[in-house]
Amino acid sequence: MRISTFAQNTLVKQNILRLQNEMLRAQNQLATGKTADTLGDLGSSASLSLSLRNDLNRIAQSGKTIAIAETRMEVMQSSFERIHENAEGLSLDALTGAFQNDVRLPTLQVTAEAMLQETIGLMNRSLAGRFLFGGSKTDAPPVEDADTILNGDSATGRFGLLQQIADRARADQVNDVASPGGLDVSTDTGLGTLTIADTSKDGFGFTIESVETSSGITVTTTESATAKSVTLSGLAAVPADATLTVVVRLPDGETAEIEVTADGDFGTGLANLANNLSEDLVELAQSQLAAASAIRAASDFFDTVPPKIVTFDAGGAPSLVEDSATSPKAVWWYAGSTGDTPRAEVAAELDEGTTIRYGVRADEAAVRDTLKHLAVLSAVTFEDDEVEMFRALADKSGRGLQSAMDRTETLINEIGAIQEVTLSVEARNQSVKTLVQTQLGTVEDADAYEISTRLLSYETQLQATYQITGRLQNLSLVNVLSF
Amino acid sequence: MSLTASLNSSLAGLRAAQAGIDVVAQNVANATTPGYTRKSAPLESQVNLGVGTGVQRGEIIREVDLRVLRELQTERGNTENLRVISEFLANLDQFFGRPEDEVSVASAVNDLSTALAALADTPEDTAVQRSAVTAADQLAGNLNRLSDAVQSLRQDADDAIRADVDEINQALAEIEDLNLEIAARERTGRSSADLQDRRDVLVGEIAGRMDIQTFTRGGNELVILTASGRTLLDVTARELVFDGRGPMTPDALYNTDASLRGVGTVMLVDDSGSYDLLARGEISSGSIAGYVELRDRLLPEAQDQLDELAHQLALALGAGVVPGTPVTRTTATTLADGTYPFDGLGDKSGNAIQFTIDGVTYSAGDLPIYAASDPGGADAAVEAAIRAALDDNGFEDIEVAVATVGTDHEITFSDPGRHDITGLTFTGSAAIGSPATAATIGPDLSTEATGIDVANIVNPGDSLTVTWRDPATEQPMSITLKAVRPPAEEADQFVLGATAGSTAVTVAQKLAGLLPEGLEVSLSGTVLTFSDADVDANTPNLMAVSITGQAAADTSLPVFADGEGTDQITYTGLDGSGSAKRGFAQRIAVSDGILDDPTALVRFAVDAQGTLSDSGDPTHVLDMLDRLTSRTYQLDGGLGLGSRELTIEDLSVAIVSFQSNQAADQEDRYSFQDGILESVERRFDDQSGVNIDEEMSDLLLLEQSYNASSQILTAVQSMFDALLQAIR
Repeated sequence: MRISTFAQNTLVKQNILRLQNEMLRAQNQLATGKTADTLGDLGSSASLSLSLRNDLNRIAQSGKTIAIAETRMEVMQSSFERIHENAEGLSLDALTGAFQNDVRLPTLQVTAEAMLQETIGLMNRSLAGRFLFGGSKTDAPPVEDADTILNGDSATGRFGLLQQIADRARADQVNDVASPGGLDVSTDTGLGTLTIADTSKDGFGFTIESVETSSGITVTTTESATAKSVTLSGLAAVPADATLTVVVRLPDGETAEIEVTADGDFGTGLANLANNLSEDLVELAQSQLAAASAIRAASDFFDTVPPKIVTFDAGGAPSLVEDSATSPKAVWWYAGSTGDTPRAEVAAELDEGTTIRYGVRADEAAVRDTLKHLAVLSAVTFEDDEVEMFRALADKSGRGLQSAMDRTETLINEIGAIQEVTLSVEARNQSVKTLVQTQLGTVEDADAYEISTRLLSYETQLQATYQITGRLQNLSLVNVLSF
Repeated sequence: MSLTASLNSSLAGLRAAQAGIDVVAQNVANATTPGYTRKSAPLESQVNLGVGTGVQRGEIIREVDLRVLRELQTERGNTENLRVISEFLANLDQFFGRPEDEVSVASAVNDLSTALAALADTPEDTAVQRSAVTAADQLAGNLNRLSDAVQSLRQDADDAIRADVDEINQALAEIEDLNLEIAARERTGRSSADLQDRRDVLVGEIAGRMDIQTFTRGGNELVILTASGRTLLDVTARELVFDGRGPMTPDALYNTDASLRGVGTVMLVDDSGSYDLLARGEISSGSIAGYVELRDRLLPEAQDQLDELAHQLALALGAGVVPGTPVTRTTATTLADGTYPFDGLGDKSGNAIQFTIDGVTYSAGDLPIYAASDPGGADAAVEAAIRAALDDNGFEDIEVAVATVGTDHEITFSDPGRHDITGLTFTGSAAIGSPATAATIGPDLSTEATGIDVANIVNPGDSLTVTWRDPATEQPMSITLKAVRPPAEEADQFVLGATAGSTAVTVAQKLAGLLPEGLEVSLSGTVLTFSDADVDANTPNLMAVSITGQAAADTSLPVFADGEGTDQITYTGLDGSGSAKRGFAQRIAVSDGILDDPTALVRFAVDAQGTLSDSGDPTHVLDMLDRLTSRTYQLDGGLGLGSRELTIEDLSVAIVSFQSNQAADQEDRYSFQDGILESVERRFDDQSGVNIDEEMSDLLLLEQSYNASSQILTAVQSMFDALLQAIR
């Protein structure tokens, strides 16, 4: 077979070029540590490389997300733990004060006010410019300051809790000695009857639950949609051992009981009985009813936004209405979002498919009840002759705080459970990240040892080619023949 | 015999040797000239009148194996074809960037989703909002850039076709001239070997650009045909014409119909007119075929893939993303819902209420006895009795309420439009005060018509339901049509139009074919009016028409829009004439509204009045994230990616890996084909090329023969000298 000189030269040239190309590629790979310059160079691994890189980015983002969520949850936890601690201390003081020690009562009020301010401060905490306890409304403090809540806002003329309590006390007829709590006691000596009448069944004041008597007295109850009265008959001559037990429901939903016997300061007889009853009702109104009225007023103030307020018509008849959204009269204590699902209002996607929802709001029952009872204790002042009232209030609020504490515990546990999820995702991310990086390395990274070997063999090949070329150059008849 | 004869013979020998050296010198000089074939001039003995008079050089001939030459030309065409494709795709691959730089469109989608995930944590943070907008902007920019690259590569391919056509025309013209020259030389017995070399080079140039067939006729005249047998050169050269069009846009596509064609084609012009060579794929090899493949198939496919990504992206993050409150609009044609007064239930036993639903009468009998003084108790008892009767008969979906209004009692039935409540009667003994009066209700047996406005059908998934009573079974029957985006359309679907009006037309047409005989539908604006011309019991009776869909009150801005600045329009996937998808990747941009105010990325209308959500509400952002990373969308089948459902993130990865895989495949094919070409070239060169050693040894022979002839001349001369000396 004949060989063309041109073809031979071309072949050598092409071989050298190819080898040089391969060497350059290997040198590049060695320098960059990567097998490919473009995704095309990766060929069928391109899709794997892209997916793995996406995974890495996602894990990195997930790490940031988790860090943010964890910080927020830590702050939430510490806030609630503090609230819990406060409520625990104060409720003990209140309950002790209620049953034993009058001396502690005045300090109770001072402590309550300090704690109210602290709790509001905790709820208005912001982290990196974000208010944590306003649900999805993160750009403003969710809770009004303590002074505004208690005393109202003089700039806008909106009243606060003190006014709310006063209004409610008026509506509940707390200090009305003529008809304490809206109950009228009347007698008819001719017929021998005593009537306790609630002339307006409007939900204010006392509501008659039941009346029990000693034997010989007949109880007749008349009730319509608007009024209820209980008539006791057979009292033309009051038996010496006659007793009546009247159970009334208070505005905060609890009940109170008065027991009246015929003998007493006013002498015997029907008038005496009636007087005793009236006297006891007045006392009850000024203690239990006043405390319950304040609690109810606070509930109406705190439980809903807008709050429910008491208004009086021209005749002075009270009614409970929702504060107008367009021209509000009362301070609205809470300014955050009010959706039905507070948890869903702050969310983080930790991972594809794992979304945690960890929003907590200041208007959730746990916080709201704590605030309510702290505010009541701060708002209600008492004179020496009102100790009973304040004692009743301390009892009610103390119990209220205890149940709020239980709710706070539930909340703390709930957030704890979410933190668990976050931690497990974090752990999973770590292990997945290692795996993905290893895999990405096998796809993209060049093996330095392998390339060095390859480079060495190219070098040898190239050297050999050069030598052969040189020898071939000499291997020509031209060099041998002498013309 | 004479000395002169010897003298002449040796002179002929000298001449022949000189001519031989001439050929050798030519061969050696051209040893490295591409396309040069080795020439030889065979020796012939010179015979004059039967007497040998020395030697002469024959005509210079080439040493070419025509079979190998033809193979070489074919392979060159195949190689060129793959070379251009591989080069262009490698170029496109560069635009996807190095894997670790993460500049590919897939990385951009991933960046957007991580930015949204960060935004879900702190929706109200303007810096985070801004970075999400930037990620969206970069994604749009990435798509624009890739799309521009695709179009500019198409433009390059188009320009290259034009250049190739010019080269072919020049080569053909030169071959035409060479044919004449070669024929003339052949006629006069002169060598045409060098001209043939030149002609082969030219044919090679043509063959590298398009596939051709060649054959030679008498007089060594070359005829060139296209692969499909059309004459390119037969005595005279035909002309190829490239009729280029305007600048390259995604819309500019090849079409066999010249009036619809947006790009240039290669036309063969002869006396009978011009003929489109691309129409039936008559150029299947060579660089032109490669450029055409790129311009009309591979690059438009890449554009389509990018468009699909842009399309899915814009729609997924488009208007109506927020899960608004679902609304149901129902128009019932029968008196299905209504308030029916009844009076004085009475206190006697044996009272009963009967009601007719879907043509069947049921009874709530033995109503309890209540004192007239306790109207509330009576109402509750009647309600409980009817409720029980409804539940017993499978009408859990019908609601019933009984209330006292003035001195009357009213029964209210509410039904979701599925049933036909046609009668309500009371039976029983007289009640205290007033007798039980029978109250009968039922459909008004006159021509019924009802209109429903379909303007609110704007989102895929919205549906329209028409219910009627089938006369044979007396059961309600219904059809439900669901709105979808083009082009998918199944029997129970209709395609959303660009406007409410065009959607309504589609719905009306579709319904007309589906409604039973007796029910008719007509359209005015966007209001569909259904009429039931004959409501007797033997024909289908229209019962209800309802539309179900997402709230249209959502005002959240779409993240992406079509075009920029004042030209920006909302992207719906549709335009006046059809799909706006083509080329959308080139136009996609972040909505101005979002660029101006990044909070629009977070906030959405929470109610029909357009009240905006709180700035810290992550609902919308999480929903967008879900649409980007978790929800799957049906792909257009004709994209080379398969007809399947993918998430947007996976779609972007699929596109990038499709393109890079394709580039790698073509590179492999090209280098394989290049190897084949090299081996054929070497075979040809080895056969027809110059070997210097061979030439040297020839030269040695020639030199010796020259020396010998000169020796003879010297000998003859000395003989003549001796002879003349002897005479002197």
